[in-house]
Amino acid sequence: MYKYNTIDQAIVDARVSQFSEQMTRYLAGTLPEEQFMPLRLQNGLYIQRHAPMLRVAIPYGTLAGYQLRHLAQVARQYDRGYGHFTTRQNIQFNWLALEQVPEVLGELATVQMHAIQTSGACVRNTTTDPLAGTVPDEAIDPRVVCELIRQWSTFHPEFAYLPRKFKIAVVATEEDRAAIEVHDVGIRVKTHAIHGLAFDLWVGGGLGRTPLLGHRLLADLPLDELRNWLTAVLRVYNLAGRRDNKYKARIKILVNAMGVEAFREAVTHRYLTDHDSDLKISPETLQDLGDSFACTLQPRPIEEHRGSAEFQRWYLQNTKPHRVMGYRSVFISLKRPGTAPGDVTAQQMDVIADLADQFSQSEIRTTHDQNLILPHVAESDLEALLEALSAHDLAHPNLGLISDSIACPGLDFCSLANAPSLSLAEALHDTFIDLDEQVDIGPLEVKISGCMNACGHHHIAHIGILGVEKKGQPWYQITLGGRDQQGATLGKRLGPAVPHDDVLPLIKRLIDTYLLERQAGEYFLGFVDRIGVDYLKEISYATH
Amino acid sequence: MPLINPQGEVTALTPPEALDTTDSDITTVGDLSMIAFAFDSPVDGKAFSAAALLRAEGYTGTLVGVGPVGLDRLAYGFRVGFDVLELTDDAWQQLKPHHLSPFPHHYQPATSTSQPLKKSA
Repeated sequence: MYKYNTIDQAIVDARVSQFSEQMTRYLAGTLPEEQFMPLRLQNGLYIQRHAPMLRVAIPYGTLAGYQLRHLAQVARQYDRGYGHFTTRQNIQFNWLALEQVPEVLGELATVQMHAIQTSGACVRNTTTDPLAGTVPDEAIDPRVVCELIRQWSTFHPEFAYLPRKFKIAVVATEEDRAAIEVHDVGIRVKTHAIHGLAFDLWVGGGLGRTPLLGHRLLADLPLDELRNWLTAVLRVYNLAGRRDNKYKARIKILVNAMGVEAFREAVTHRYLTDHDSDLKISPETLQDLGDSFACTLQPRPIEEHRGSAEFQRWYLQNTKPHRVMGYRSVFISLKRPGTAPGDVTAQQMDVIADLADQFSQSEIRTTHDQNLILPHVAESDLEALLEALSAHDLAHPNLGLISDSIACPGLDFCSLANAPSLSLAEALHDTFIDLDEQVDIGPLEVKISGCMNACGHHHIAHIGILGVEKKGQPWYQITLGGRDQQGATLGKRLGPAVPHDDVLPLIKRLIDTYLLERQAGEYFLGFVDRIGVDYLKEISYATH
Repeated sequence: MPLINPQGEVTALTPPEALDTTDSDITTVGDLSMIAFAFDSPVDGKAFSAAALLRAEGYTGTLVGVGPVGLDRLAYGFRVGFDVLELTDDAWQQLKPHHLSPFPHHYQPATSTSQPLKKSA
């Protein structure tokens, strides 16, 4: 794992001092709310429905055991004993006292953690493949590129006050496990015959009120020029992006307004005119960073598991192959009945940290689906690990199944939401109680957003659920056929919105139709593609 | 309202009328000895790029930032190449040295430093 050097630590420590002073001025009334708001947002601090919420960065979704243990301590000491993992690989605390936030940040800084740029109109935490470093076909560990972007974008003097938030995702495999086409900028790193390492760059993707897939703006560029190209993209956006309407301020709106060709021309002009040799990435830098992320594992014999049926189910559903023989990556589902998606108690965090230390090189990953991963587990340790996870309600074997749904905090916590999300996630568990039935249904992604801001990523769900307000009541629109990889596609709206209590019966009718009419080996998404949304609309609304 | 230099001193400059930030092209404004760019609000950051571009293209005149810059954006403004930045009287009363330089290191090269940090890890 990347470890802070003295410079990194000094910068984070200085940020704690800076924010403490800003908070002091705010509480003393000498810093008006209008000026404090962008400052607190750039430090991940929201004023939510019930209390301030702090979003803590987990850069590229990689955590060490000691860091997770410290997050548990924050949850215990300053919050209500739990944390909430988000779709952008971060963690949120929902019940902090405003005046204690600087103290919390000071605590986090002691373990190289912070809330820098987890919100606000700036470059946010760069996300990536949660299986980075564990899969065999990577051009490079994408976290190397993410760390370069983290450093380049942290307190960048030009890009701290952009028209709107700016999200970057990086992958280094053919398979896209970071949804790069629905980010402001998406980067795919690949090997290249001439450059060694090169990248393709997508721009203008995003969800929210105006969901759009990104355009592949640039291709086959040498990786050492990445920061100069990013600077060019950000400069064009910062100067020309709209600031008069926050709903028209994302880069996707600018790209569409200019046209892709004109935008490409403007970016290329800026790159050629303002190229800065200090931004070039040296081979030594790549090597140093690569070494810092490298995890040396000795191949081990492959185990033949003859464990219980419970073990077999968990093994098949919640573990994935590792690039090193004799290891698996183990997913910890945070979608259990009775628990909000992504929520983990302080005690569970401690347990996971201990298990990471014991079984996974002290490393934990956070995923876009609000789950956790122990990335490097020896096959011979799997049964012991399952036993330990089961004892703490952390072995629910539903990864990728219908109850492994994403949900934003919704109306229960968020001041922007129109409708509850968490109750629908719970209703999925209640409706599809039987795990055998879930396995029979097969891979199915349900994603729930409580408003058009789409924090639950409903646009790219196989079944998307969007909360809307209708005559003062929460209603829900359903979309079908969305996906974020293997040809990203935005879901199609099924029909009119339905009230809360009709959502699960409607989904049940959809699933029953699928089970009845699917072809051999056909999963739900393929079924929707084949049979079409219009047909399913008739079935779904049959009782309305 | 006071115009502050990177040392936190009030200067006696009289800034010209602010240019549109889209005019941050040295071929059209390079002959001007002093240029002002406006920050339209506490969250408007166009002028940071406008100034950075002019400096990147070799502009050596005086760059002035006017409008609601705020104490907490002074350091960014000076790092991208502004020579002076406007503060309200209230903000000027609260100005402390750490507002001018809140961080001991920077990850990015900047026009205000001749020796940008080149950090490998």
